[in-house]
Amino acid sequence: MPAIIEVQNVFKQFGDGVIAVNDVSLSVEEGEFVTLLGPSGCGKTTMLRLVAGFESPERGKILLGGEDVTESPPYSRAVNMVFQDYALFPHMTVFENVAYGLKVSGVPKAEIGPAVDRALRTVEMQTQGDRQPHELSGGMRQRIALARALVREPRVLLLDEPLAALDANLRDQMRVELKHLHDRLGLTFLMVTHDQTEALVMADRVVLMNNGKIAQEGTPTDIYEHPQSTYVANFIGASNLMQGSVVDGSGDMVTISTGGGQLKASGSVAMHKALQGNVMVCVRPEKVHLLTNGQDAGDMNAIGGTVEELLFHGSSVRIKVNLDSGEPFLVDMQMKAPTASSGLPERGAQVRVAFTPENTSMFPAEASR
Amino acid sequence: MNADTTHGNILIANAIKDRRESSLEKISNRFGGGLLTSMSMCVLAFLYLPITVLIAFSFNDSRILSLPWRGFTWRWYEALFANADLQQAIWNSIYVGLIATLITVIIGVPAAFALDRYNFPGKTLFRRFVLLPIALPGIITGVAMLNMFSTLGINLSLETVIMGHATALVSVVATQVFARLQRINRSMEEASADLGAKPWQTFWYVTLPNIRSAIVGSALLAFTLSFDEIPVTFFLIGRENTLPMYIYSTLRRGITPEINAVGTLIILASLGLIILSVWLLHDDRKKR
Amino acid sequence: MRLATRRKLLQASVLSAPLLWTFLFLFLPYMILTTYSFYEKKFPTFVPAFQFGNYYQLISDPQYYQVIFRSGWIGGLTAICALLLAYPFCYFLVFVVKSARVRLALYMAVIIPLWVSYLLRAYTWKTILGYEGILNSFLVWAGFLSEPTDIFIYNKFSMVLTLTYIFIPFTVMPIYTSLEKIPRNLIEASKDLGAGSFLTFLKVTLPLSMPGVIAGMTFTFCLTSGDFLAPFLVGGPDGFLIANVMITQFGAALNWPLGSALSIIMLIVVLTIISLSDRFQRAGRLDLG
Repeated sequence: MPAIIEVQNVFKQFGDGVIAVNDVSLSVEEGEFVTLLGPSGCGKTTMLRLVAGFESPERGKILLGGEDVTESPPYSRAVNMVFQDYALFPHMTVFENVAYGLKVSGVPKAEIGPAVDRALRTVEMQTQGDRQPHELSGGMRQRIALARALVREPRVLLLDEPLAALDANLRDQMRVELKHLHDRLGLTFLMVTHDQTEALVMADRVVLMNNGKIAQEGTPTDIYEHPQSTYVANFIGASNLMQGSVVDGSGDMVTISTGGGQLKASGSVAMHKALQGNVMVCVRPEKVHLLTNGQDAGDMNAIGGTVEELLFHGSSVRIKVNLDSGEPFLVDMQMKAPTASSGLPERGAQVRVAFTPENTSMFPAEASR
Repeated sequence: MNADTTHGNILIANAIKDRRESSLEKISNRFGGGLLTSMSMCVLAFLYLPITVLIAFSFNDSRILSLPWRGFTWRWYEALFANADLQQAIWNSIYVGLIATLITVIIGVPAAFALDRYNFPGKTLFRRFVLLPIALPGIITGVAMLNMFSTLGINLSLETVIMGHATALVSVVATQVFARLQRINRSMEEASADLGAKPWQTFWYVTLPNIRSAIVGSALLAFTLSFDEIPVTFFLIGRENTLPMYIYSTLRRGITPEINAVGTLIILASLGLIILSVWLLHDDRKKR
Repeated sequence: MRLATRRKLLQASVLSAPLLWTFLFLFLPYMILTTYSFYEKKFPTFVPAFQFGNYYQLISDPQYYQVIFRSGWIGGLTAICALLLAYPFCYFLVFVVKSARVRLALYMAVIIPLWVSYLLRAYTWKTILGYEGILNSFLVWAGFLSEPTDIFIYNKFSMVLTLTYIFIPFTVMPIYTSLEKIPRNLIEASKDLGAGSFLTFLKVTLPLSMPGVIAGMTFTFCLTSGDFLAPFLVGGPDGFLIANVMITQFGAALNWPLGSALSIIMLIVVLTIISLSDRFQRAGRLDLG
């Protein structure tokens, strides 16, 4: 079965010379929730617009359901989009907005009413039919935009930063609601966002982009636990990065020599020996234990340092440690007991940061994708 | 920090603030404000006095346009309605105005779209040419078109006047529609296309309703301006007269109160059209 | 059909009418005008030629260059008078008037006369200032004069007065727009830093409103010096400006080449002034992107 969206070697350049999408290929399976993630200017919005038909690529192809739509205008593609600013028609009522797609396709009047009603029910706005867009709040407008896109029962729904204009509380709520909507309807969702939390929470698969290229794609867990470059490690979550060179290794354990001493990390020797040595070892702050000088490290790697600062984050505390080698190191500790009695170290205390080799990931140091 | 220090700090701060607006400044501010107000009222009076005089004297029962007031009369208005030449001139002006306005819309709306959305070679030049008639004294436009018509061997008539007016007034419609187009949310049109509307459907159902009041408002404006147009008309007119040309030729013979009467009627009609047009052009802001 | 080609075709069809019209009625006439300006006057009319005689005549013959200077002079005076009246009014509207409704109403009150018969507005001054006019009869009736005087009309004073009256809205519009655009917090910042009202005006408001002032004065100057009606109605012996000369050349004198040359000179001067003042940013009214 062909993927429902296939982007093949697409290259898009704008008039001022900016290359927005640089030879990118992507495929989305039917029913998936895929997020295009990245900072502004990375090309994610252009990718979405290429799939929707608002831009055409200089090179490459776009296929929807196996059909080449590269040269098709937006109104003949079976995808619908929810715009970042919702783009509701100000001179029409909510009902007319949602009915619009059906009207211009020539659907008979008798069928439009029930279809609109169904769509409004899906987003729980069935009582708002007679109101004007400017009378509605941001959250309500977003639902109408969703209903308007869904009423035509597209196979693919495109979402352009749908939560960006909402305030924080509403955003949290809508994240979950959108995910539930996806699961319920069984449609394919392709969403653009710059917010990594959104991507991690909502998506089945995350595609992280940088400078017009795909930096890494995979499930949220994959991307989080196994970043393959400095860029990915830094974009998603916080990370501790240590640079070093491969010294020795056996099985899936490798010994790395870094500024702070020797570490054991997980990874295949063959892969990294080929690079003549320079690698980055990455470990997430929440996977790090804080040991006093007396405690036994066991199998874990342990590096000495001094506590510089403690930052209270509510459910966790982020401890900044200055390693003996001079580099900074972050440790996140969940507060399972009240803060006062949890035995946090004081500033200036001598500690050791410890982590198991399984909790590391390793990638070539030069990879700056 | 105790209460005394705080209190002292506040006093010092207030003293510093007062120094910025010394009593001399306070007086000059109020004086300045009053001066400005009276000046502005004078400007308004200056602007409206002659118009008031014109209207008033159209009712004065005297051949001569001067004081003292001789009594209220309708006779100048009655004379107007008996004047066949005048009536013909009015019809001509209406005819010219309507056709010229129609042309300005047919040319001006696409021009506004082109300037707002397209990039094409010669765009800057095109923009300059479109704006030219409004920036230049009308007489130049009139002269230039006269030269062309005579070169092409076209006789002067009301139709040449129509073309002259249309050329001079295209920019009125183009600028207003352009301004409105700039304010339209572009993603609205993309949404329409995304939902399956072909380009003409997007234009008809989405774009047009949002620029309609700009088109109508500027068309009304163009009509009013055409009705009053002199410099271009002067050079392009044939044997028929438009209203302003009729008044102009009457003026050359001498001033009569009938002119005041015509003037009053014109003022009232123009005012009505202008107010309507402005109301339309300012409309829709709340719906954005 | 390719998407890009489809778009281009649509663009071309939309552009066709305006482009054609602009070419036929704007570009072509100016080209013809330029051509005519090189023709030669030969009794009874004129013949095709390529010579600069007309331009030379306009510059060297006092009959003509005096008219050109007079037009510029009147234009300049009018622009200044209009500025002196318009600026305080605009300042008043933007900074003294508190209610947005009142501000809009007063602004409209100044702009509306612009579209109410230009001919009539010029003509009313003739009736007011004339020998048998309203001002005179009022002064006689009130006892200030024993008999009517003709100093009010048919001179430069009446011309400038009438022209100022007609063209003040052109000065008001750009100045109002540029004053309105000044962010209020700049003025507050200036006062906060210790400058009084007058100093704030001098150092902050005035410089920032300059683009509007220049635009307004430019428009007024250009339109005034090209006017023929006011000079005709109230100008008297002095009332012969460029536009009046042009009317004669295209009328009785049948000297179209000279008239065309004069038009071209006017065109160049006006275009130069406008593009110079363009540098200082168009203030609102004529923005086409």
